[in-house]
Amino acid sequence: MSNTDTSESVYVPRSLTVRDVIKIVLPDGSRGGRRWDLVCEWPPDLFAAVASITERSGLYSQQMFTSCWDTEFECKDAWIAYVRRIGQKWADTDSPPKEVQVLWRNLIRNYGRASIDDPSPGALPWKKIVFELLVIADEACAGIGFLPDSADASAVQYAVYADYVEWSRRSSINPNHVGGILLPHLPVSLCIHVPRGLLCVQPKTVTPAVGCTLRSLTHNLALLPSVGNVRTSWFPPVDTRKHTEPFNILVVPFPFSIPGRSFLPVVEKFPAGDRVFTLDPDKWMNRDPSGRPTGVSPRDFADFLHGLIKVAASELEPVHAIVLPETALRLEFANEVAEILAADTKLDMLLAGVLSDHDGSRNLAAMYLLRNKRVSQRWFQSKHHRWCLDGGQIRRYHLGHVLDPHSKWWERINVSDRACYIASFRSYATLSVLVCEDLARYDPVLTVMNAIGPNLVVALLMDGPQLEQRWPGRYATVLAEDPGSAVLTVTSLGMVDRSRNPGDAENREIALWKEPNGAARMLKLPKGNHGLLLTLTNRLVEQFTLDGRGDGEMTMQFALGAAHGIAHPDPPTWLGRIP
Amino acid sequence: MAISRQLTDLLEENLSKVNAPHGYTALRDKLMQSKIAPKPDSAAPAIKQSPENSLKLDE
Repeated sequence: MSNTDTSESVYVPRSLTVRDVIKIVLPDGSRGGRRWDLVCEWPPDLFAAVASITERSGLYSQQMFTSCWDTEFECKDAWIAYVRRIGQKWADTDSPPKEVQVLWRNLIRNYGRASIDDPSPGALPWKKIVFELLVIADEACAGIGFLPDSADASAVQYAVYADYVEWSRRSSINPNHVGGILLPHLPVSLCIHVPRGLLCVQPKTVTPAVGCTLRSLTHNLALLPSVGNVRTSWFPPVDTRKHTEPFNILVVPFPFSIPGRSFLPVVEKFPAGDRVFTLDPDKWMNRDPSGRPTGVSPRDFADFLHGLIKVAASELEPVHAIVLPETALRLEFANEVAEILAADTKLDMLLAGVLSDHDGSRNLAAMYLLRNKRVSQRWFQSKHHRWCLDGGQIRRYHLGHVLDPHSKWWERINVSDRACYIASFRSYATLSVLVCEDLARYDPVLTVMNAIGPNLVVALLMDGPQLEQRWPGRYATVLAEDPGSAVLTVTSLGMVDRSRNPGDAENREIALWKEPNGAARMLKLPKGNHGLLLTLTNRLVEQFTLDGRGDGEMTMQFALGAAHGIAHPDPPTWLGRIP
Repeated sequence: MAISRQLTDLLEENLSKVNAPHGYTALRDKLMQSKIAPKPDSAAPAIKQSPENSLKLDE
């Protein structure tokens, strides 16, 4: 270069290569040992690597994988049979099949330096390899996360369930314990060599029937964000009940009335002037203080629920679960109610919105699984987004005498601990819970809902009437379409009543049901009743990935079979005025 | 998440009713071997759940 050379050096951005992504996802090597030339031994590890490439490259949208009319279409019957066979072979052995090893070696040696964002036809060869590895890894994990069936359990499925047993043994001593004997990240990820601080892999239940995404390409595995973003825990089923039995849920829209003074302004303000409020469940718990000067005990509340269960059982079917709306109870109170119900009833599940004073006040969904007269499992899922009451809502709920309608008011709750729980409550059925705002905000929990596709999503709300055209109905419809979950939203009669103007006709829509391929059903609480008994029927249906692979009718789909109002024969006075 | 010992027993009971598939023992042994690989430079931090989820179930 001469002294008079005036050429500028131009920064050339570095491309991200196939090998880069593999080394990021598997930083210590595909089998540990800081080597990447051999394919992962564990299918979820391979899935994490190739799914990351698939997502970042967008290769899932290529015509050759998704468009049966395309001349280059790959996913014909013979190909589907082939990937199934290889996946099944891997699921039943201790080593990846030779075909998988060859594909990986080809990818690393010949295409390791390929840019993952290369859209040219020259990238198609490595995209085909990645796609095939993705599908094979998914097929190898059929049934993962569920109880193996004696007749056709695979080694992979059995190994995962066995490790859940090991993890649960340790977790019963230390609830913060992570890892079984084989899988170091249980219950937050199925991977071995993929850091959970980068991403996680979990089982999934529903394959979206619409859309073209990575999620549409898998039946058995879901790619999830890091535990730092949202910590998702999957728990396998203990209930081996046959899937044909209906599932009966008693929705109790407590509290039935909510005094305005339950909303308490807080002194602190945000710098921009927004205000803060808290909720006081004590204000609505005992609406007859002169008649119940000692207050309402967990036994009183459990007896009230038990009374409803008895009415339901004597007239209709057994009750499997009770659902209470957002912030219905205080956490410690709910814990005791759950213990009493476990001892006195045959209930399987109590799902309640609770308020906790731990850690600066949390708004939580509490899930109690009841078995053999005890609470056998319990978790609390935080609400992740604060409720913002603006002037419109303050007027709608007639709270202008306690909260200034000219200010914005934020719910004073701790929204850290971003966690989401997925529980299998029947042989092939999973359930997850959302609290209010989480139904409407995409991050962090709806990304998990979309990826895993719980068969049933229950949204606990403190909201007005559950009308299809209102926001819960709209978001429930979105979830029912993609990923295809059945959604039940539940609110309290007290909030429904607060949203009514004096003299207007009553609204009584305390719940809304939306199932895939079905219309939304608004569920009203009949006058004089205290609960709604919903019967969910279920059937196994076949779902298909975008590339045409069916799942052999392994997907549980719920439908609302019946709804009955339930009236307590002798409602306690502490319930207060029931609209 | 809090789990009772009773639930662990139930999981184990469920598993005992299923015959371990042919390839399970070899797979388990192979995966155990992978834990002998050199330790990573930085171990994953412990997971700390919310205070409510960190409480054991009374038994």
